[in-house]
Amino acid sequence: MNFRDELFEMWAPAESAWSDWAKPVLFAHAAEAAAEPPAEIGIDLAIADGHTALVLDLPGEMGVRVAPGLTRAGYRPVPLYNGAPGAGEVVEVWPIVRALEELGPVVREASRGLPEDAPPAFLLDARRRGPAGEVGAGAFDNRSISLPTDFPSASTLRGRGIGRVILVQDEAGPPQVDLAHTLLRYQEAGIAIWARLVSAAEEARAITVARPRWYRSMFQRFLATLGLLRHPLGGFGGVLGEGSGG
Amino acid sequence: MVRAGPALAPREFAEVRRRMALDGCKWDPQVGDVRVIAPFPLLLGRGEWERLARTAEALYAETERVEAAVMARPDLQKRIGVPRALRRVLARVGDGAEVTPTAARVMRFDFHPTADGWRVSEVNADVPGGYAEAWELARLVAGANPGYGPAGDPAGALVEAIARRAGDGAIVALLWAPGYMEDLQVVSYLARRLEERGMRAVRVAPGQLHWSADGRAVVRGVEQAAVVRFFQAEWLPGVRGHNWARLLVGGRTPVTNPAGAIIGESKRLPLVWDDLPFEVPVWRAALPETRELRDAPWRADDGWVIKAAYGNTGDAVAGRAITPPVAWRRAARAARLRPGRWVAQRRFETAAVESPAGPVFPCLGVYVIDGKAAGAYGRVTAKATIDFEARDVAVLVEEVAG
Repeated sequence: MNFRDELFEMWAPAESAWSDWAKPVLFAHAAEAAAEPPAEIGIDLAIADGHTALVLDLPGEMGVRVAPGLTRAGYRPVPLYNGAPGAGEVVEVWPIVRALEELGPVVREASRGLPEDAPPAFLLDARRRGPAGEVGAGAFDNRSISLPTDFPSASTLRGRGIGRVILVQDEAGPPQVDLAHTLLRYQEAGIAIWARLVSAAEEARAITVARPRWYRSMFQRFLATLGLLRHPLGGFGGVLGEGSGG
Repeated sequence: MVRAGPALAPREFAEVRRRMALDGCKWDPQVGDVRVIAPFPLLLGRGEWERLARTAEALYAETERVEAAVMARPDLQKRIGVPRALRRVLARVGDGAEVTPTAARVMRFDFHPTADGWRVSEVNADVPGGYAEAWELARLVAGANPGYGPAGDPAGALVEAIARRAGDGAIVALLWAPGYMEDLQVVSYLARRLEERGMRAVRVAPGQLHWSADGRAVVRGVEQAAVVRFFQAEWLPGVRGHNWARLLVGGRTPVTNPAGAIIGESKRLPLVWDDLPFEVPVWRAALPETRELRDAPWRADDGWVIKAAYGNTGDAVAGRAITPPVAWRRAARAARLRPGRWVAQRRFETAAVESPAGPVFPCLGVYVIDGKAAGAYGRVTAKATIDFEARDVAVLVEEVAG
């Protein structure tokens, strides 16, 4: 087993009920890490109750740094990072790759004894959509969006005993518009949506996810192509069907 | 015609899935609750594959001929639904401009088994994908199926074709639509294969590709030897601040696919066959009857489906009997509002194949690159239409004895 395989296994172990959803793109770019692990970030969470899933929409590698603490609290971190790294990347994802590399062994250690069906903590990069507008000529446009199909369906969550999802953000505010499509589906299926800040400044509270524009329209796909159509995702694309490849 | 092979053991399948994810640029192995890689292959006898390959090559030849004929007929371009902005660009050819040269030509023909033999539902003439699934997945699964191997390596054939045109060590720009993971993984896979062949590859958004005064493609001030346009042609007019027309007409840097792909890609193309000065017998035999909406009872007769002139992955195919009611009403409304952008086609019954996952409906996408069959991309669904919920499946062909 090579380093990338080992690393992927640390974050998406075969025995976890949620590993199928782990996104492989950052792991495909991993290389042997030598640096010291970045500092973990503690989060004041109650021990997992078995009925609550987390969605951590946090900037950059912050979600990865929170992951060891979540694992010790009984959650299974599930990386859902869609952005690919590359030279001149618009959204900095190399730091996320490095954090995954360096904290992988810590998470593996923390997850020993974790039940197969430990509730999931989905990790997203809150900066995934990057800046609005066109990017520079030398940039690698790795901006991405979160799609409902990145997550388990509401029926799968409910079937595994999940009745509540807590959205964890770095800044106060409603869910990002792309993520709102997923959360609203959960809400409509009877899953309670709560929100809190990653800092312990406030307790989690129930929220109502508002209906985003274009909800369930045209296969719920956002055309994430610059300059094609304007869209509430910050001028970053419009609504369309599938990508170019047939 | 085609049968399913045995399912891989869970541990073997997990390894295949992992290899595709970490080595094969398959970065969306899970879509919602669906594992998109099937744990079993589709198996074809050598003779069956040769028949499919020869048919696909014949369809390729006819398609190229039709594209060339329609390129000279703006009236037919309008009739098949080519968007106005693209028609304006193609019209320059009639005014003396030259079509941008071709780096390599790729088409993928989607074959379906039926009780009456193979039928073709469409050609992906513009931006076919599925290269990694056709080769890497087939190679991985072949180990558990002695006597069978991949049908071919379409990415390898494409890379060789580009190398012949652009030269060893060339820099190749891969144009893609940022934000689409499924497209990024295709261009990333092609980039890797180009680099393994000794070329350099750069992935760019449309706004990052520029053109010199004499029609050369330039990225970051560096001239490119070829461009792979993995960006569907009908989106090009919507790109601001980019002289996209050079990808089609007036450019001097070879491009894959060329301007003619716009014509071949239209699902309305069969409507103008009778207006051509030659016959297309292979297409007529392979494709179900196709009519204008007004000439087909598609609203009431479950034996018909409607297709958008420009759509891919089967999402813009709808039929009263096969599409959920809400989606059917939406498609029917769109078709009624813009009938010139849709077409009606007689529905055919794909033969189900028994598999370890129960009966599945297969679709074999046969690649033809510069006239030669180059591999197959397989998909299966539990329902009779192939769309974005289809699962990728390895296509394996009986190896030649000895």
